[in-house]
Amino acid sequence: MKVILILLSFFILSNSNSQTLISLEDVSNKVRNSNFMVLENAQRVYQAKETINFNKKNLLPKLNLWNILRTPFTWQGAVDIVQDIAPFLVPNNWFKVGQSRQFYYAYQEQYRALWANEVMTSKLLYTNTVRDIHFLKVLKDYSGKLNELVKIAENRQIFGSVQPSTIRFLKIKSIEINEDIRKLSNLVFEEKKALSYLMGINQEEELTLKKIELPKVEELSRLKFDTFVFKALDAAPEITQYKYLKEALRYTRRYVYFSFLGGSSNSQGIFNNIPVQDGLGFGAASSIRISNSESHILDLNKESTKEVLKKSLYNLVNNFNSYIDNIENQTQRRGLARENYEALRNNLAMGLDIDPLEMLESVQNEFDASISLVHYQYGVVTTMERLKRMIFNGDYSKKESKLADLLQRSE
Amino acid sequence: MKLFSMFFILMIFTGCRYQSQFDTLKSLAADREYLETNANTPLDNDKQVVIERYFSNIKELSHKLVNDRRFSNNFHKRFFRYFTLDMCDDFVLDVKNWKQILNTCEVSGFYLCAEELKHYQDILKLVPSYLTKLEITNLKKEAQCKDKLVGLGVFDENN
Repeated sequence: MKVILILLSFFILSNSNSQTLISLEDVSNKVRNSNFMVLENAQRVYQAKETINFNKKNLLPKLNLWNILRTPFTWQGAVDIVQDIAPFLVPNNWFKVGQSRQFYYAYQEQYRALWANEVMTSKLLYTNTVRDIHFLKVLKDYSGKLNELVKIAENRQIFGSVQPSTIRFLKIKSIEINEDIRKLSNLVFEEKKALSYLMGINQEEELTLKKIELPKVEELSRLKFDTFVFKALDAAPEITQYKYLKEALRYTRRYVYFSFLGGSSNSQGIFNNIPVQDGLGFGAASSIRISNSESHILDLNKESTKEVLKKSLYNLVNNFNSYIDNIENQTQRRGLARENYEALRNNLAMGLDIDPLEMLESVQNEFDASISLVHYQYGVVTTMERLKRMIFNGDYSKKESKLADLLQRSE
Repeated sequence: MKLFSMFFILMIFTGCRYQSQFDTLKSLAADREYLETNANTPLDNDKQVVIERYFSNIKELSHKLVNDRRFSNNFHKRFFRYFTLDMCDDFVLDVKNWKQILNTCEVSGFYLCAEELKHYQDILKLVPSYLTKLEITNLKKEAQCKDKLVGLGVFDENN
């Protein structure tokens, strides 16, 4: 019997959800190490790196027995299998190495952008979840105050100073708030599950989120768009990738020029739509024109990306400044609403005759002002997070390769 | 004529191999002067551009010296031909101005300058181990240069 009990308790314990405590600071590390999309793209970058090695080793002689057997043992025969015995004599094979290196750099930049986006999405979701937990607390507080009001009104009804319709109205309000609490609790639950997925944490585990230290908005100063735009455009991997893609495109043009010396067997990555003749022919000019057009497309995409970044940045800076300009209003609104509520409550405690509906309005005002202020503070946090992502600050900072190399040596 | 052309081509390939690095080194002087004058002014677009250029150039040159053996050999060969006592004063930004610039780069908790600026000291500290003793002695000859580099932690105060 004892054994059965021990086994049963072990079974129950092993099946119960384990809790994971995380903080906002942990999010970027978790995403870097466990996010499914980040991991998948890290594999793509690895493949691109390995392609460089493949193309490098493709310059060395290779053995294809059937080619050798069907080639007569003469000098002319040796020329036929030059791609096999001396692939390094074919310029296009060298270009392939260069091009795959440029693609690797471009993939690295794309990975950096994706990684930053995933980190930002996770951090924003974390912030929103903590905000909603905060809302839930304010809502429960509001519900408590409303219940207190219902009790007072019920007591007053005995003396006939409150109409039954007023009590019914207050009770309806209280039920509505309970429904809001249920909905918000579900939302928090869903947000936590989504956060677990983004951070690569098992769905069986229950997340416990640490509080966020809210910034002192009053102490922050307004931002200037001009100073941010330089940093944002300078740091954006979405723009840097075009530099490498254009470099890679140059190699495609070289393929065309040197195709009379033999071609390379594998593809040209994203530039497969540019036709390359097997030898230098009359189609070469068209190939070059198509590659020029491709280069033009890259320029257009780069310009468009720049404008998209600037558009986002303008909106973020404007949002941030509007938060700073209006924080005083919000704090004042909250203070006045609380003062009003406290005054009515004190009057009620002293036995003065106060209309429960007036009291309800005061509770409602205080609740609205509290929610608005909390929303405001978390709004500043999310705007700052978006700005950090734009300029690659804080968790998003990733050092450029040469700088990283120097710093590694200095350690 | 043939000989002359060959000589000319040889000159191009040997003499100008590191011309761009030499030009970069020379451009440091103008940028350093701008940064010293504007160390305390609030950050604007022009300042950001100069900061990015100056500190990226410092990084590029250091990276070349550390990683490119050919460049490093060339550097050692030509060090005494081109080295002048005021060079250090011309090219190197001192610790006080560097810190002031670093402060202006922080706006409302955001860092808005080139990443290389933050690691200026670390980059410079790496350089002496790639210089010869004679070169280091020469750098220390000029008191002002020595003070500047000691302040930046490149050289030890006692040695």
